[in-house]
Amino acid sequence: MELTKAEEKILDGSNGEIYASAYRVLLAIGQATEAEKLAPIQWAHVSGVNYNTIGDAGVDFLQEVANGVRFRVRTTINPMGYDRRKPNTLSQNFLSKQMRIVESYKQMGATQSFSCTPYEIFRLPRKGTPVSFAESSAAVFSNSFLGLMTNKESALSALASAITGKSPYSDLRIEESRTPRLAMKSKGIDINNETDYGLLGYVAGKIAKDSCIAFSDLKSEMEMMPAKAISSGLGTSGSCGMFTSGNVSVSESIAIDDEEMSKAKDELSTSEDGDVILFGSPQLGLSELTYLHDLIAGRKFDRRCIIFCSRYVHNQARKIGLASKVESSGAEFMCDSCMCLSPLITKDNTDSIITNSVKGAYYMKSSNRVGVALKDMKTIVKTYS
Amino acid sequence: MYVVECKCVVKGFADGEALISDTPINFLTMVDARNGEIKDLDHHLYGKTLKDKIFVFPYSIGSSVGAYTLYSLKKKSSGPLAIICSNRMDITTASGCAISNIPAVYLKHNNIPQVIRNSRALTVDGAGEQILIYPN
Repeated sequence: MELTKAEEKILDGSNGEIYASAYRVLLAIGQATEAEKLAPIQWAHVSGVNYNTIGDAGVDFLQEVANGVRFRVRTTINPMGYDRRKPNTLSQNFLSKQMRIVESYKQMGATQSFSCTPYEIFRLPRKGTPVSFAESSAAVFSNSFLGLMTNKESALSALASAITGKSPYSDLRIEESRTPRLAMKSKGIDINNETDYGLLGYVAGKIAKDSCIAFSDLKSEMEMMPAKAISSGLGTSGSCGMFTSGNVSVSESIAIDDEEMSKAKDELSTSEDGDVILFGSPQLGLSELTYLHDLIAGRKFDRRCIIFCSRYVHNQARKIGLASKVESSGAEFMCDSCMCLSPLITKDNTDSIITNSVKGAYYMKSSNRVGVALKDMKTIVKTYS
Repeated sequence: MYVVECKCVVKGFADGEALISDTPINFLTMVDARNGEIKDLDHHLYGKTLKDKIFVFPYSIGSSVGAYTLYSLKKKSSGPLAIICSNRMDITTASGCAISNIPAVYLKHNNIPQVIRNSRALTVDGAGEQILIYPN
């Protein structure tokens, strides 16, 4: 990758060590994606906010960065570990480290979004706008449904882009790379609900090495709930950053069959049942809350049910009376956070959880190390209320 | 000795033994950020550590936060000496190596080359875009 004279100077330390590091990261990811140059981006979405994901090294690193720089472009941030406005029994260590992380991002000028679905909260730039999105599900969703142009960024590459306002001009930021070469055929398999969409994404992500693939047997129009589910499933298991749906001409096709789908489900769904129901990975939006409300209206959950959503969506739902209606089922809202690596769910307090999210199931099983019963929302409501 | 050409992502030299993963890696869920051990029970390298090894794997998958795992390992002196991605290098691995000064290169192979599997030791020469392979 070629840097301009000005960029070379910053890489060599003319603006200090932090800017030099940011350019080292951009240079490395530019080399990895075979970019020719850096180009401006309009929006960065940064992951690495929950203390459980970045640890002590991350806390110290972010504080050091925050002492030296301010973000140059609009920057939103991923969920943190818990809801500050709710009582909790988390350790003092977790709480103080989590607050240091929040302070560092604030100091750098991040919008306090604490959301993995920034595309549901903020005014969207027009199609074709280059952005830098970490948070795998948001990168895949924004490329595939909103026409924003991002590679599947990492926590550190999106941070470098927030600091410099630039990203490599490569791969999914170039129009020609956004045409799939490989199609995933799903004809003949039952895809009836959001969990099936999530599993399809999860299976495809394991197979595909390309950055853009096609689901040629799916309808080109997709509702919000399956769209979020398939994006997050794909982001969880693979390195693919975009998909198209609907028929396109491709040079290679791979068929996914029922056997692969049930194998993936068996891998993720390790338990018949669970102590607590978790919704919201990615965090639920208004359309999903409305769907849940329609299912649960007049009924009560027979066990604890936690809904993870952004503060913004929660407040909207509160305003239109939706939040209190959902709460009358016994479900509770948990804002600013997400189930993945949540400190609220541990081996010590939970044997297994119930969720409709494939992404949630994967992280609950592999990071939180609890059992998982993976079922779609309709089945969950029917079974546990 | 064999020589394999590679593409450089992060410059630097490293000599050491290879630790080879046949499957893609999710750094956040599969690697213990405290000591570099593979903690995924289903992984064929379960219990082995990346520490002081040249870690060879196809590419990384999943979480964007995995870059911090590489950084945490480096801070704890438990990181790999170098990284070789055999298929292509993803952004999570590239950025994690860049911030941690871990030499990183990639090949464009569908499979991990047999000469690397049969090696006693490797030298990764990032800037020179070469991997020197000392056979068993």
